[in-house]
Amino acid sequence: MVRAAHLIYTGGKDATRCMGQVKRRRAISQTRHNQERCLLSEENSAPTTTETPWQYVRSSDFAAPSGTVQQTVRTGLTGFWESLRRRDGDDESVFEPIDNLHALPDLLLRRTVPLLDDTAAGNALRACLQPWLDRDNDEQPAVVVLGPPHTGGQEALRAWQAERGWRLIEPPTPEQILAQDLDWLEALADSDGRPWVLPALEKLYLRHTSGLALVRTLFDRLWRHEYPHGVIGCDSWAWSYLRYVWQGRMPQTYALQAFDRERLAMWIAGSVQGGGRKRFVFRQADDGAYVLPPDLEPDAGKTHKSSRFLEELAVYSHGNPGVSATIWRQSLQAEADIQVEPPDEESTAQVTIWVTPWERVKHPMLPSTLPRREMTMVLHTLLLHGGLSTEILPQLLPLSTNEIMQTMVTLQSAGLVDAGDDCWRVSALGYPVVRQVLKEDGYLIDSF
Amino acid sequence: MDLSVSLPEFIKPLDQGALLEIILIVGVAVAVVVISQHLLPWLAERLHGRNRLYVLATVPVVRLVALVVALWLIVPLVIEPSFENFVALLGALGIMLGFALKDYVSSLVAGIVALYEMPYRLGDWIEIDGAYGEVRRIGMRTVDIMTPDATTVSIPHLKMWTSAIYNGNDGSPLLMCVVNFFLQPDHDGRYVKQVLHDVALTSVYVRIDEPVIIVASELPWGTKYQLKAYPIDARDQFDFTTDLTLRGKEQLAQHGIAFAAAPAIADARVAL
Repeated sequence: MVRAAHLIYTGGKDATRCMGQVKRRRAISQTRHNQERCLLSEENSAPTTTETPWQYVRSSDFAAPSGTVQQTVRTGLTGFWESLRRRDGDDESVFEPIDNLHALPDLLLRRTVPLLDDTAAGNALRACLQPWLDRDNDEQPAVVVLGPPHTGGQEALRAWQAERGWRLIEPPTPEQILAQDLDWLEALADSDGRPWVLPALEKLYLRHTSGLALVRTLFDRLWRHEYPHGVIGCDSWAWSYLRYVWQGRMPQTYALQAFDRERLAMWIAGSVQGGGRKRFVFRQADDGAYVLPPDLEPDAGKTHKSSRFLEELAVYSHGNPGVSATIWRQSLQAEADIQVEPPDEESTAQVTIWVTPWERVKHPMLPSTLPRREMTMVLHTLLLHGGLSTEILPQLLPLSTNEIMQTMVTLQSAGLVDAGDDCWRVSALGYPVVRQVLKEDGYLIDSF
Repeated sequence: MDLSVSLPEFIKPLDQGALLEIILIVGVAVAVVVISQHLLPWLAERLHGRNRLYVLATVPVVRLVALVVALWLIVPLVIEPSFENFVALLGALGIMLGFALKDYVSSLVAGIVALYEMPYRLGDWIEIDGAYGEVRRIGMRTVDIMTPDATTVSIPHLKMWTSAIYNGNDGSPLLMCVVNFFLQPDHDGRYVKQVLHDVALTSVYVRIDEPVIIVASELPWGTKYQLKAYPIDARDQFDFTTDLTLRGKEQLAQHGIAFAAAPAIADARVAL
């Protein structure tokens, strides 16, 4: 990420640009501070990089992007107005079309939408966990890496596991969980003391009276040092619930730092550089304001009007990179005659990608065709388990199979849940809305 | 001989303009009250949790404010605004109300007292004289509650002076639910306690960040367990207790724990 490092220290004449750089330097400084805290607190000085937006911190150091008062008021009023209207989202597309602009072709989408980078996240995880690895693990037989949905936490942990060659512990089946099959835990034991990685703790329990024994026994045996040391990945929602299931001591937890505006800009700018020399400029469709900070735009040095799109996006998505990338993807548009030829090494043409103004971005809503309580209890159950299959849902909910399927289909039509591999999950687009609804209704939510 | 009845001296003769003004004030006050009594509950039903209760709590306040403002504007139009005149007016009203409308006025006064003492608010779950339900309307004279059987019970505010008022959630969304289990005494109590705790912990209705409490007590014919927990929304209390009861019974039966039935059998024999 040499380019990003160069951009950070490039001087500028324009005052706005300077201010942007100051903010970014502050962000980088904060990043360094957090990383240093993560390292120094563990009495270690493992090398780290500041050029990547991926950074793991202690979960207590997680800082969700906060909006301005204006944003908060607008969000609140919008939500209130939408709740009054009680519209059904079935007949609405996610975004309103803008005149003379069209959805981006797939080829351009692939080059302009950042992907969750398992390798970079794995490297960040290594930097954060190195102090724990370097010292005696008796005090902490395991650490937990928390990740909200759609942040790719499990994939990052698998990448890290593959790099280190630790044993990968796949979760038990739901039948094993409900049967309270404690023999499954023997997979963690190893006569040679080889460490292990359990990437999905949320798949080790079910919110069922017979579904808690396995995870309780795991924690009990961990603190009795019956297993070699290991790293546990866990969905942030499941962790919130498990804190009440296991009343004993909990392992140290780490989490991916939130993607604020600066990290989002760095991530997007870094991603679109990947294909050829064709330069992309991201401008807001209504007023032409530049979406990426000016010094991350190709024609840096000129006076720019800056857009607040990324700031709004970061606040709305709670710093969740997966959610941000999905909304970013949906908001990109281009003129009809845009050239979509493959990257040409010789071409240095500038391509303008138009970004839907944040005010015109429409989000999925909870449908009004079904009782709200039924929908929220289903959504909450899905989040607590990181997704569930159709077969297991009736065992966890006081609803019939028909009622559950009707709810699922309705929520899917509204864009709030996705179905894949016979597993229902809250969608990336729907996640911020669902989280807000569950929070308003008094459900247990995660800390991220 | 002059037989015409003269008005008391402190009452102003009403001209057409003053009369229209009074009608206008009364009309606006009534409109504000009626609109607030429909609009605010409608608004509240679209909100959830604490926000719903906050909006509901404003309904009687808006009505009281409208009433006071209307009186404040009307009285100077009807009487000469002097201390003596007010004393005379209040005295006459006191005698009239004291004899004729004592209970009615007592309920009205209790209704005003209820606004600042707040023994019940809209959205609260209360029990007065054996009637249990959610407060749906606080009128000038009565409080209306909706029972779990969808029956509306109108209770005069007057009851506030003499009856105990049980308020389950007291203006907050937190309402403790209690489910009883009666078991035969020969069982492992610690195990039962763990099972019941997990039954509450795994309910989709439970407010998990509030404590789950289990109280056991020994009775001559068995052991009584009380499972106490909070639902996410007070309106879910019956779904919640049903869920706890059914799953609790299922789990206890699965673990071979027998339920006590002796009192019911004894009662049946007595009846025969």
